[in-house]
Amino acid sequence: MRKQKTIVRIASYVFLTVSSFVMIYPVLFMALGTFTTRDRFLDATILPIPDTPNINRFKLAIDAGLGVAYVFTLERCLWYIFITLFVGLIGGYIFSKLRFPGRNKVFLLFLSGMVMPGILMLVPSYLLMAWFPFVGGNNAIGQGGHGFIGNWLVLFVGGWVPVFAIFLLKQSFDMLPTEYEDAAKMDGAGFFTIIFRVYGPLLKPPLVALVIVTFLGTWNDYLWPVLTISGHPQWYPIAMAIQYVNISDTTWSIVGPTDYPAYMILTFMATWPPAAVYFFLQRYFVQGMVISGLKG
Amino acid sequence: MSLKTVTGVTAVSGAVLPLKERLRRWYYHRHDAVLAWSFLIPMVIYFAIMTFVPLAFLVGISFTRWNLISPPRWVGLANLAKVFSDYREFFYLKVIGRTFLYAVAILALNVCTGFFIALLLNQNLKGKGVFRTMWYLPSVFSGAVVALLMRIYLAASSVGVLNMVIGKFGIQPVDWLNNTLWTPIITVLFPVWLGIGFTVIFFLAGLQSVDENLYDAARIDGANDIQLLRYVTIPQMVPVLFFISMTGIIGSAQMWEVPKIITAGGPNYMTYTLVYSIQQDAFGALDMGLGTAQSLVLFVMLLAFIGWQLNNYRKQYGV
Repeated sequence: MRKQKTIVRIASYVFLTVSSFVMIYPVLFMALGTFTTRDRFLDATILPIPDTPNINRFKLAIDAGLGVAYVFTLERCLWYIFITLFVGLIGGYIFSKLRFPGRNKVFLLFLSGMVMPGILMLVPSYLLMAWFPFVGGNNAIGQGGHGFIGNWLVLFVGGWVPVFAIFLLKQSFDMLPTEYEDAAKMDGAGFFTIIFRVYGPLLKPPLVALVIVTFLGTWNDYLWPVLTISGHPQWYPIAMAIQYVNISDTTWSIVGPTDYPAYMILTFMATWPPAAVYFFLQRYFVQGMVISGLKG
Repeated sequence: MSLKTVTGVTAVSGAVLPLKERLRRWYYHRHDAVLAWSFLIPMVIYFAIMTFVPLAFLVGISFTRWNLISPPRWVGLANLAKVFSDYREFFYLKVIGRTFLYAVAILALNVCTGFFIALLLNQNLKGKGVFRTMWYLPSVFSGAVVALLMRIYLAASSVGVLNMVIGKFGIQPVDWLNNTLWTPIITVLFPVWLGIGFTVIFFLAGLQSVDENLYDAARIDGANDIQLLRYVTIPQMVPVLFFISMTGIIGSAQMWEVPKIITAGGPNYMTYTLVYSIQQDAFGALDMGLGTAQSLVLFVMLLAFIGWQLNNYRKQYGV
């Protein structure tokens, strides 16, 4: 029985090592490719081997507009993290700890919003933004101007009711006993105090999980900005910005040797923040899912 | 009999209390409701505007013919009829069927591989954090960004990266993206590679919350490892499995990065999926009506499927 377990363990190590490498092979290729020159890269077999670390092109990319994109995307992420945590906690608490008529119906309503896939809502949401009354040159019924489209606000006014977060946090609140709350109330705690200072610290794991997921989703958001903010490069989030920045010394073409490292550098610059955020917070992530009791 | 209240108002039974006192008592009894609804009313209003208004638009547009330039023209059910008709040899029905097949394939691969990897990662191995990160890393990337990268990797000519690699081993360059065998395979593998990180994490969490006592009890009864897996682990994991399957189907049915950025729906429409079709019709051919009609079909199908599965789940678990 012991021996069998050791064999299983060794097999697991081997399999995991091989499969993990397969999984990250494209990532590794790209990461190493950012530090090679074009010719060196074209000679690469299994993996490109970097020669001189060519940091210049990173700086070039930032100057070409990525710096602005970084800052703007970060602002957007911070806004949505704030909204998700704030509204999510309040919503989760309301649906978990308060009893009131209509509680189940409203929760079901919000849940149905989660079922609606995002892609479907792109065109209609675009229209809603374009026809929003009294904004961007629109009259009372929303005609005449361009509404929120083309304005930086359009990337900040969506998603103020984070249904996924409310659902997750409701589950988490359900698992916490009301004794904490009762004790705090006896000391005179009010609504916000209970949520943010009594229960809040107990909910760190699911909250951290939400931070990771929200940051990831907002950072990588591509379709909605493409639809709504095209034509205003100063407000392009990073996933859009890298399509329009050119740091290559040759023209981008499929015919003839292409400056692959240039692509790699841009991709790398767009992708390291979510990876870093995940890397530093990942130990909370699994814990968070456990505490919220996905098993119901 | 009199009732002395906190505010010092003495009421005699049967007498009418002053308004302020009545309000105070009403608030006391309905405290929770007042609190909850003060927050819920703005949330519901926002939600109604941001979600149901667009949904109403969606339904409305699908009844029109509209190219974003001239005003929309009412055509009733023509768009929906077109989707279900034999237009271009049942083009749209084939798109739906094809998307469904891809979705199932992606989900199956995702779930099976994800579960297997989670089982491996659940052991107490050295460096499991590193392995976990390596499996999660692809999910961190934006699908659009990686798809662009893949297009370069898989370029058909001999200067395509993958072709260069296999060229060193003496294999002829392959036209990866225009190939009736490889292109669909890539169309399935790419979303799996992207999404499996999330799957593994959720499965890991589920595995870790299975009650240890169940395993001990089963071992006492003489169960071996495989029986443990089959009779303890998997049954306990059904809720997680359900969650992943539902979110997985919603996600994989909407897969669009490969057709949009890499294959343009080819070869011969083999990778022409539903959401790609919606984009092409709505924003490419500027036929918003047709695009939204397809969106509606997708939405209704997903909703029906999820409702059906949820019903089964509730019957089994009494949630």
